[in-house]
Amino acid sequence: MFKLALRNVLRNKRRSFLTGLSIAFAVMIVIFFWTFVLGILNDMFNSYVTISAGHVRVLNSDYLRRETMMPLTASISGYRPLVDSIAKEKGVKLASGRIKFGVLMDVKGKNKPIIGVGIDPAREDAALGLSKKIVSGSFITSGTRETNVGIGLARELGLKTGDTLTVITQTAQGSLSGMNLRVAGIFNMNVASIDRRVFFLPLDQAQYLLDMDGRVTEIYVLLNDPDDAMKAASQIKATLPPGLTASPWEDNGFLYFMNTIAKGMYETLYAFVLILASFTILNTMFMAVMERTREIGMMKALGMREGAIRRLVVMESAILGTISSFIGAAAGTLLAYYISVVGLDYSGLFEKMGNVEVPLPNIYHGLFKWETVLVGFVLGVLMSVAAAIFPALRAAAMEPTEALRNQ
Amino acid sequence: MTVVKMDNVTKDYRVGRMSVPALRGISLAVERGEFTAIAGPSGSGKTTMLNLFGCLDKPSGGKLFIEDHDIITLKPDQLADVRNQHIGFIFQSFNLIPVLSAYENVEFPLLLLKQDGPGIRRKKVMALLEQVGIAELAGRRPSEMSGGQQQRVAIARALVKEPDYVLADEPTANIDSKTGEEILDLMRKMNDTLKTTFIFSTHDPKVMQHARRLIRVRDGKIESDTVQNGGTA
Repeated sequence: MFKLALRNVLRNKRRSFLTGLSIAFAVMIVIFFWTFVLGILNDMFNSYVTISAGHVRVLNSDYLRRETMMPLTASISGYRPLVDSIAKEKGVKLASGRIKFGVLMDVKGKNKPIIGVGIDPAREDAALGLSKKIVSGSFITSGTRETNVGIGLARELGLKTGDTLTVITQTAQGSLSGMNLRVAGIFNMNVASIDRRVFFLPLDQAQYLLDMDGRVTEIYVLLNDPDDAMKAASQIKATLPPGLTASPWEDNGFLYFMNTIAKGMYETLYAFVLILASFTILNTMFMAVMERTREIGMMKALGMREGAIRRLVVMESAILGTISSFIGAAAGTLLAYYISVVGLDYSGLFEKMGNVEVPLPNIYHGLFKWETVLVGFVLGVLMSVAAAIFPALRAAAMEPTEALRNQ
Repeated sequence: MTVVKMDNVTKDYRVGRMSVPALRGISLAVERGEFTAIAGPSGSGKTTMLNLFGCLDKPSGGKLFIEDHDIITLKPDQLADVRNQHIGFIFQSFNLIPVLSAYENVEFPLLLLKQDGPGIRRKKVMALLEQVGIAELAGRRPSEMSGGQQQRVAIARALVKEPDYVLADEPTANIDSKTGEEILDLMRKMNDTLKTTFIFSTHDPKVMQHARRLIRVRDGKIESDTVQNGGTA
């Protein structure tokens, strides 16, 4: 039966080729775009988590309520023992105090809001590898009046390594405070909204500048597995003194959207691409069955059972689907691999767009997974088989006398 | 021994709201080894009779037995099994599978039967291709053969599983008269040597002359049933 099915596939070569092409194209598109979108979502997630959110953040409950204002008064005092105890929790990769504060900068006559982030350089670099993002100069060290500035911000302010960045801001008590920071290095996180808005300084210098000795605005927690964030947050929360809370990344609407809803939306889109392609198979198999009405009648006359006729039609579609999906998966793998290794450079576009608030990377990289290729291939084959079921039922249900009369 | 028996069989077809009778109470029995023609003009009911003999259709009334099977009680898959095991078919327009070679077309019913291994299948197929005189064309596809050659393949396909009887619906209608003669001679030869029962329909007087039993039908009834050419009733 396999031999007969294979020859039937080759019977109308042009039609089989065109149908195969549409299946292969659909499988290729799904693998390519899924790799692309996974890469973007992963980049965005990692960048956002690395710079801003963390997998879990420990905050003053009052700070969480007014987070957009970045209220320095709602801070965490005596944070060191807390950091040490959180770091000992199971599954925690890093716990570190941070201060985030807002600064208004004069850029070409306009006020530009930028964000200063005080970090424990040695501790965070060990877990996050921030020093690897430095494209010129060096990474900041504790106890020095140094800063690392985003590449976009440096360009706008005309800063280069060795220059001085003068920061003037309000302390936690509301008085004015200023500090000259030497630009030790310039980083490129490959995320426009961070590279153009953020500068890092050692935590001790931020505490001094903001008059927050012994205090931080948050304890940043990184886990070994981001999916454990909810569980870890509730475990950490149980150990916290009153007034403090632990927030998992899922509570961050933007991250949740990116990681869950956006993925779901794209998956729906792929389903539509595959369903559209399945219509071409449905059409082809229907045509094949209709054209061979008399032949099917003859096969039934010779004693072929209905089940065998159904299997024959489904097998033809499965052969076509498997070969085409394999070709589509191979082409999709090449494209997906290219997009993962080389990526697509969108930095020029973001320059023109001005202030981009969403943490989009300047260069899109796909996230290549064999799992994506396998899913694309399997979906292609399943779609081909599913699309043949209706024509197969139609073929099996033909009355042999009527089928034999067909001209 | 009776291979197929009709007992007061009727067959009606629905055309819109009308019920049109195609057979009006046919009773007859065909014995093993017969070479029988069912003759009559278009619309006389001969193809309907052949369809019933071939288990391709069920009667509207009466009884139809093939060997010991009461056809009316059988389900579609059981009917398929009866066709597979007991009946060979030769069609007017050959109806070979175009993507298979002559050899593979003849082998096809044996594959459905699932009884013989590849070695025995090969012996049976080649023996029949020899007997119908086209062994050298075994590797050719139908599109590479003449009408007469294709009908020879169809005869070999009908005989390969050694059926109780072979049904042939106007087997010479789509080929020239000389080739038609050859095909009928071949069928007769098979009837003589293999003792296979043949039942064929025709409206051609020349073809009728070849039969050993001639059943004339008109308006869904048997008009005459005669023995000729040394046949036995």
